[in-house]
Amino acid sequence: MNRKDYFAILRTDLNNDPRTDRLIEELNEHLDDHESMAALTGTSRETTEAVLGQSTIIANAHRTARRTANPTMIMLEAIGFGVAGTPIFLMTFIAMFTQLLGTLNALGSGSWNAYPALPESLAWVFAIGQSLIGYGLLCLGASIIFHLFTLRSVVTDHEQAQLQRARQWTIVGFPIAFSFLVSVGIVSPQALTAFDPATVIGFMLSIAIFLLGVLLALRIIRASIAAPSYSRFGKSILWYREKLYPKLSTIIGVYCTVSILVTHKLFLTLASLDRFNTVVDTHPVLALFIAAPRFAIELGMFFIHWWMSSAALHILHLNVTATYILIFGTVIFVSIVTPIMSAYRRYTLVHRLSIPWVAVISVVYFGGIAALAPLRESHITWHVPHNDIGETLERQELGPMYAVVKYFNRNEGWYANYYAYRFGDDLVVTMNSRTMRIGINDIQNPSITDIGDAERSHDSMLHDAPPANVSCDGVEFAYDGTNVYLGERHELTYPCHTLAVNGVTVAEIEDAQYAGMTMTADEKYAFLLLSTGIYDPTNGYLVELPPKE
Amino acid sequence: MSLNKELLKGAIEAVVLQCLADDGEAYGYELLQRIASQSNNVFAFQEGTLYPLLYRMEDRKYVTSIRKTVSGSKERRYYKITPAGKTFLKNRRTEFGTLFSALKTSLHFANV
Repeated sequence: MNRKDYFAILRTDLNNDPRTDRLIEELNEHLDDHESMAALTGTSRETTEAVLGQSTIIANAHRTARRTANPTMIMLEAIGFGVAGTPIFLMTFIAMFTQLLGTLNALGSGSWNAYPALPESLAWVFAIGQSLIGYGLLCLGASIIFHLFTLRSVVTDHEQAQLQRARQWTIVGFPIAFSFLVSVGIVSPQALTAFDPATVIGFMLSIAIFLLGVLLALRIIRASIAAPSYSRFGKSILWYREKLYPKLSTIIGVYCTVSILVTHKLFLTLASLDRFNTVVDTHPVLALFIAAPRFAIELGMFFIHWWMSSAALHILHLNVTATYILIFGTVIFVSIVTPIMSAYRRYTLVHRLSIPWVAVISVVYFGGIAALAPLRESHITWHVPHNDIGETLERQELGPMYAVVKYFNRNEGWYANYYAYRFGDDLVVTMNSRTMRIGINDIQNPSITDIGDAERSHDSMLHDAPPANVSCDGVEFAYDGTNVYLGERHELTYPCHTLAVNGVTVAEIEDAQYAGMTMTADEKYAFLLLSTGIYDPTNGYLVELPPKE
Repeated sequence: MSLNKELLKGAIEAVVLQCLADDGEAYGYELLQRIASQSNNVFAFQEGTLYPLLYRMEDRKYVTSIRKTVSGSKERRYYKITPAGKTFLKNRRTEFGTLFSALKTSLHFANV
């Protein structure tokens, strides 16, 4: 083998390692020196391979030499990944929380067993099953993310595999533990106060399932990355690496592809049909099963989409939060994408592993989004002055997270359950656990005061008010002295397309499935609750009512 | 005499660093010649694998490298031991000293 062929093979073996050129240059110089020496001493010329050794051995030595680990650097990286990963987990938990609440709302009024058409046991089975589907995807997402996170620190570090097991677990587990605890700390108080005890138990059960999934994922990751020494993990790990892991990759890829393409499309098709409402009414179990994939798909999409497109899209649409998103996106890119790309490159360099389904999913996902977008939107034509109080409250609640969260709940409301009570001439609005008094003297810019104590507003519920003439699509509804509800099962059976008060149209609402209203004592203002679908949370609007004729 | 590869692996870094510490900076081929000469060809290994070893030690800041022109137009990359490399070498020498002392006793070298 001549020198040129030798280095061509070596270059292939090195798989475009960054130091390939330098290595080949020095090996060339080494051969020059060797030949010069041979000429001087009169010894016979040797082949390139005889002098330098087999190219595969050099390439392997080169790769092995790069697998060095500095424990301090690894720990710093782990901390960095933990901090950087916190927003992801926080968003994940918010998504879980949102979806769970959405499910509960769909089942009934915030309780597993409130849905009248479902046997309690079936509701539980379904709800837990739905959670498993969703959290399975979460675990998948967490696996992928943390697989990539830990690659650089652990996978490519030959010496790392020889570290003590406790230290390995620390390095792998710290990012996920840090992110998880921060997220739980932020989200749990809301969960505890928003739900009844049975629901909290369900929520905690779901989190436990999620944790188990994460632990399993970590275990699998750790087993995967210990490739050079996996024999010490025993035959089961060997079986996993050689037999199961490739199959799992295929299965996951197929699952994601089919889910995104087929199931989501199926759901959207069904949801777009007016008859879907009938399905919900007459075949609630079927309707829930139809809705379940959406739950899972949205969480899956949440992960991918949040990573890849939220910053850019929000910069285009939301000026208030554009700066935040820009900074956030930059931080994400610098602290996560770059290490991931680097880790992936090194991972493929060392293990010659390609993950074609990642590329396939990316293409299919964005292709699918392009094909399916835009999703259904609600259009409201207002005939009276109004203020989207729901948005204002949500912005207060979420702060800088609003833009990102809202994007992933686009075309839907936020997770809030709104309840409104009169308080003198003002309104007291409870959004989940938070109670706020809204000053409504200025409809364009109402002041909002955080009361923080829901009990204080209860007395106002007893405040009497003269009956108002409220109609939905021409049908008048009774006023119970406190609130106006448009039908007992309003969200399912009484879509309200034209809402009128005192004979004057307040709003024409496309696709409205629910409407509820709370008025001030003087009937000048009302807090109007609108939802566009059974699985869509409620939006709250402050409206100025037309005067009595 | 050729040594067991695993035995060689643990010592080769120290040998290279010791060579650089004793004789100053050197380029790859020169370094190999020195090592072979000083060790009576005991530390003879596939020459191409020297460079990945040097890269690893460079990553660890045990050595630095710089390209220099030699013999007119020829360019070579010279490697030089750093203070960190000297510290590592000192620790390795202590470790090997302890090991050899123990081996001497355990394997009864004195009785051979």
